[in-house]
Amino acid sequence: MRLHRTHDVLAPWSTGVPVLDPARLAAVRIEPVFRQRLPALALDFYLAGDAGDTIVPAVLTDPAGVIERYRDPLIFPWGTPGGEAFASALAERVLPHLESLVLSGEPLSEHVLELAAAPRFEAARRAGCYGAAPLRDALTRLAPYRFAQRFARGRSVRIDAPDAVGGWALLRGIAAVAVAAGRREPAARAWYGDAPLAGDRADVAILDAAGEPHGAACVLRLDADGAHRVEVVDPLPLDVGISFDPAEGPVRRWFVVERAFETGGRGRPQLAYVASGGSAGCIRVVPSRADALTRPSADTDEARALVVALGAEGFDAQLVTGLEDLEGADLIHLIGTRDGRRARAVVETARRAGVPVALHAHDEDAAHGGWWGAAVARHCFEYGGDERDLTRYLEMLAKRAVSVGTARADGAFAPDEAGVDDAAFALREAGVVYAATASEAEAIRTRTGRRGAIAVVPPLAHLAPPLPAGALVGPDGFALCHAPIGPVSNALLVARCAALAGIPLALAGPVVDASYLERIREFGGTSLMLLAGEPEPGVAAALRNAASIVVDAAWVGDGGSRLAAALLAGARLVVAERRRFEAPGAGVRRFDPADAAALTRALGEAWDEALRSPGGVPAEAAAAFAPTGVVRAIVRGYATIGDAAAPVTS
Amino acid sequence: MTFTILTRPGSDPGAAHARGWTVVDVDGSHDVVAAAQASCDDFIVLLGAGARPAPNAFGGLTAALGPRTGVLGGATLAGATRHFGWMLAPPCGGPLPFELVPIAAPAGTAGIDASVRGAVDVVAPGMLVVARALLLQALPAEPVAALVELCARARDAGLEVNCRPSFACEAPLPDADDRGRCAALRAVAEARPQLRGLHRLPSGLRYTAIERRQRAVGGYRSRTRIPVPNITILVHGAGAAAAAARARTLAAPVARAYATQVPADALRAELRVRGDRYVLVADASHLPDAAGLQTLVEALESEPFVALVAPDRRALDGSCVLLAPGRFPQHVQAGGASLAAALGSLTAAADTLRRAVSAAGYVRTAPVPRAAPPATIVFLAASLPEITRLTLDATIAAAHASDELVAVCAANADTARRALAMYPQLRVELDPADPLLGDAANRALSAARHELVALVADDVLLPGAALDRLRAAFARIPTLGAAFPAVAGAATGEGAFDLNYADIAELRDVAARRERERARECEPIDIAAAPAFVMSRAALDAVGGIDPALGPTGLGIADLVARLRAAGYGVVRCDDALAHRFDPAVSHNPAAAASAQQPAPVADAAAISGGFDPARRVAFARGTPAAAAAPPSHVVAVPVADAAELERAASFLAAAARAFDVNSPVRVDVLLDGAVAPAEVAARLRTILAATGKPMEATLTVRVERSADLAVWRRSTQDAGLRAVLAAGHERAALAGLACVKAAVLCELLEAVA
Repeated sequence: MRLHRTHDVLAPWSTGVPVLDPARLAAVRIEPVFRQRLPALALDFYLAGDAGDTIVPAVLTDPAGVIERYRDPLIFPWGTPGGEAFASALAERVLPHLESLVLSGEPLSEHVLELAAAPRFEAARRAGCYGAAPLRDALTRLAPYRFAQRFARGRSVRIDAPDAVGGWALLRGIAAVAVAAGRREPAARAWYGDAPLAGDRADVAILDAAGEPHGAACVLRLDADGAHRVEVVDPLPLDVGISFDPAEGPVRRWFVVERAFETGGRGRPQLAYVASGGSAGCIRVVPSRADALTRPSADTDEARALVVALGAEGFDAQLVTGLEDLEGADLIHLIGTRDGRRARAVVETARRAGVPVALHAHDEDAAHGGWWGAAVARHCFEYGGDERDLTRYLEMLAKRAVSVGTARADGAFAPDEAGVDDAAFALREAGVVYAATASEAEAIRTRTGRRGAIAVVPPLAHLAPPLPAGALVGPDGFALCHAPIGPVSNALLVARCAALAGIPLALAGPVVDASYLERIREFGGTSLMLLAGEPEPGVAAALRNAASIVVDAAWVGDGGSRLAAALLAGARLVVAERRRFEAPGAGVRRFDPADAAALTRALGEAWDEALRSPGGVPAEAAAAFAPTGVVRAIVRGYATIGDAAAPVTS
Repeated sequence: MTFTILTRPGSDPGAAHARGWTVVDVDGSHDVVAAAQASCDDFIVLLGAGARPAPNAFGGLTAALGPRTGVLGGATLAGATRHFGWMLAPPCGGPLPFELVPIAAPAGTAGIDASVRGAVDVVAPGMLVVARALLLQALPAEPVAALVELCARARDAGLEVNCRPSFACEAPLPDADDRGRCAALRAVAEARPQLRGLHRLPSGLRYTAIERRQRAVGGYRSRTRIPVPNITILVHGAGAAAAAARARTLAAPVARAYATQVPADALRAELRVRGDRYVLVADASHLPDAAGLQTLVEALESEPFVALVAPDRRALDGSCVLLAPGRFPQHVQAGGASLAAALGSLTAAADTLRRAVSAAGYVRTAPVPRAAPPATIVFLAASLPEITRLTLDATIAAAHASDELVAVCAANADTARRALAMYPQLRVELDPADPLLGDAANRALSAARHELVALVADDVLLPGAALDRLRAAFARIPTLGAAFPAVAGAATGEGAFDLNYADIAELRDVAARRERERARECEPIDIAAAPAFVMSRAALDAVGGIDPALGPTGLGIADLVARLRAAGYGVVRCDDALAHRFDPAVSHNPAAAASAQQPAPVADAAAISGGFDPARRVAFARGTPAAAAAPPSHVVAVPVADAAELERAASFLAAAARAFDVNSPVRVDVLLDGAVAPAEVAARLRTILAATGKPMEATLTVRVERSADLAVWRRSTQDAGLRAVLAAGHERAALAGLACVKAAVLCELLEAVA
């Protein structure tokens, strides 16, 4: 029996006595969808019983697989009851119809295969219930309740809004949910189950435009406007299911978070930057990544923090992206070597102009494993069709046994645009290089042959005053992954592992690759909170403040600025072992970014630890990452430029 | 002619400035509308974000525009790829009524411009010329959806949409953040219900290439562009000769077109050798034109399971039918007296075999699902008795009551015969001569009573329900020719590499787990060599038995698989059936030992796509052996005591087999006076004889016998009046005095005989 753990909305359920007799299959809803941007069919099975019904939604199949039969064509959702024989028997009943459908070559449209009288199914279909109605309609109805999960966990919830019973079905596993008297539509109750009747009081109220919150601490108001408006995108199942990112499609409906819990955050050490002042000169800070400003990452944060600090010291510091903007600089500070060709161009431009270059290395020898992982990891999620395939491919990934084209783990691999040799040139020729750790400095010397100064300087955290973020992520702890959303970030593996570990995950960052975002949503489970787009610095600070753990699983890192900021915000860190990051006094969980089991274990351990002893910034870490000290070390590094004999400093 | 140029952020009109054209910066669809309204030019040039026209891009542009021009696109160079636009292809199951198929080629691809020039469904982003009237209404904000909408608008207004590759520009790489594109395309499709996908390729490529969906290992599917397979056109009816002449000019891939008065017979003749090609059967009055033929080809290639297409159901009587012969397995025949009947038998077979018949109005007759039929199980016994016992017990335990069980062993293998006699359910077939049991195996296969035939060599252990799983595959996949179990470490398609077991008990556990976890999972393969598999009887009849020159060795099985694949049958590795093959050193199986000496078989894709010629069918029974021209007068003694001597004997025998054949009055006696087993020797030497390329019955006569006392052998040859000589390097005291013959001068022996 093939199973999938994707596109989670509602697991298979029964009302009353489960119906596990395939002969009771009364209706199968069939809808053409896109799965990983390829045509697929989504099927909902409805089995009608005398004392209850069983619904198995989101059975997936590939039309060509229906004909070929090299494998079981139907992939059932995780939690399908009845076992192998039941699934096979269901398949036997529907496959002849699917065969005819596919062999006919006619355009496919959503329809229902009726095998027996199914009045409850018909009523549910008319009511737009999930499992009976077209997904586009059903998902739009359930979307606000999916959003409400972040507020509802472990609390009492009162629903007085349309599709309340569906909302109850969605939330009942994590909260004590009840439905207002007028919202218990018979068709929906017959379909989803008998939602309990709500009283007046609850921690969380989900209301329609006119609903009365009755003092609920958290209020979601559907189809109304307000300050914290959340837009529900018209779904394009399955790739765009429940989405609150208006960039993904036209907005179908919206709701507001009228009241939200705000977490107090953890106590933070006073680390305000204290400038010495009195410096002068024109410094241009230029990130190596060309899209560092449009798709910010940790390097962007570090560059911004550096510009602010240098400005406070009296320098004329500017953050620039174009080579033409470097003109007139007295010193060029290059941040990172991710785009080696650009890094080299900056160094050569500076050399022609006779301007010294300081370089934050952010070097991890990405050609040995980093770029390989970025190239191959997503294929593990895309190549197989079911959970067992995925598990097997992830095991192969952990053993470095996956290769795609020239991307192999047993040798050096980097895409052309990484410009590995050019990056080495920049690292060798820059006036001063800043490494985050002594081992990074040593590795740079060994690999590039650099003889000049390398200063060991901790990453510079970008500390902004936190803004309220309770309406975004709710009041409870979560894991945070804040990085550009694309294959390099490895966020897909993080999402998968967090979902398996039952840890709510907030994923924030600009979208680099939309299809990768779709995969994250596909495998990320119901607790995933996707915050597509770079959050404002204050919101990012609030997210770090509220997060129990912060995860950095990237295959190729952009420096440790965000990790430092997270540490200073009191979050536990779960960090890929590739990352050059040392946090004195803080127990950072390390894992192999190729190893899903190791990542899941690290997440779980950090999560448990955070539950046991929430927050706190170790004094050693606070001292090490204090921006004042870090900036002074950077400025001291400027003074070593041209001094080939300068010692490694720290 | 002047143009208004609308530039998106980051674009640079370049040479257009010098031409004095109006340049307007726009950012958003409303800006475009406003600029179009304000323009007095008939045509507007749109420059996409970051686009820069190539040098001379505007050369001759004015001449390319006319009153019927709606949208003119060009070639956009992004990175190392040139983009020419998209085709709107028929969807294959998705929720959109079209699939956006990019037209792109690596920069520097020769001849591509000529192929893509002309009508196109959607022009490339970057730079395009648009009739001003088409821009007076807002376009979708999503850039690709805007292009689809714009081109649809043009066609709806009766205007042309063309690609002119010399109208080129450079643009940034497409952004992978294409959120909202699919939703925007859906909105365009909903607003324009008439917008339907029709073709995958632009017209210039359509006549030379097709795109075929292919399955990679593991099940991932992608489309690959390949040349159009050859087309044969049969024209019948009044005016067939003239129509056939016309048909020859329809398209380049038309390999042959001819008129026939007996179209059913002609069709059967065309189906004799199938392979990857097309056959069009058309009445002279219904012969399609080039575009019609391309439409049929595209319908045939819409999915790999489409076997037969016609414009509509009525045309299936033979007035116009295009079929892919290779998608009908060889045993499917176009039976019937008339053409309609012949085609009817093909459509009926297609329905049964789960192949699609694409013809408007055609109603498929769904086949009745059926369980796996009983099988004839042919068990080859040639290994050590304890191995044979183990594997035979497993095979018999897996057999059903309705199965037919046949065991094959060598006629002189007394121990094996006695062991087989312990199983009353077995019918025993003896092979009098071939140590590899090829002849008797073929006899048993040919006499199989059931629809499925299992061949199991006794050095292969099929634990648990493996045999059942192999049989079950045939119930699921109607075009299956052979199903192999997964064999740990095998080098060919049946090989499985994620397996670890230390002993037979653990193997059974692993097998049971695979049966459960990988139930009904199989992988199509093109090559396999394990002597344990299940075949369909129909397929076996179509392609014949095991080549007697190779026997059931790795090459022999691979040859059978290659014939099956060429004949249109599927061959799969069933991952829910695990088999263990004993090492030849353990089993002492002659065929396994012979396989170890053979080169590893490899799949031949060209042979598979070339189809199976029934002339290559291997008869189950050998022809009458050629009678020896003369009884042997000379006998060459080759004593073999150990492995090193066996190798020396092998090279000697290779020379002897080249020098002599069955008609030569020379016999080679391989005399085993040491520890080497006869089976091992037979297997080693048999491949040498097979390598001569002659049928086995026509090769040099070789006798392998155990001879503890060579003096006895010497006396027997003297008694028989044979002149005995000795192979050089194999001297023995008991044979002292015999003339020594070197391999290099064996011909002299023949001359001496002569």
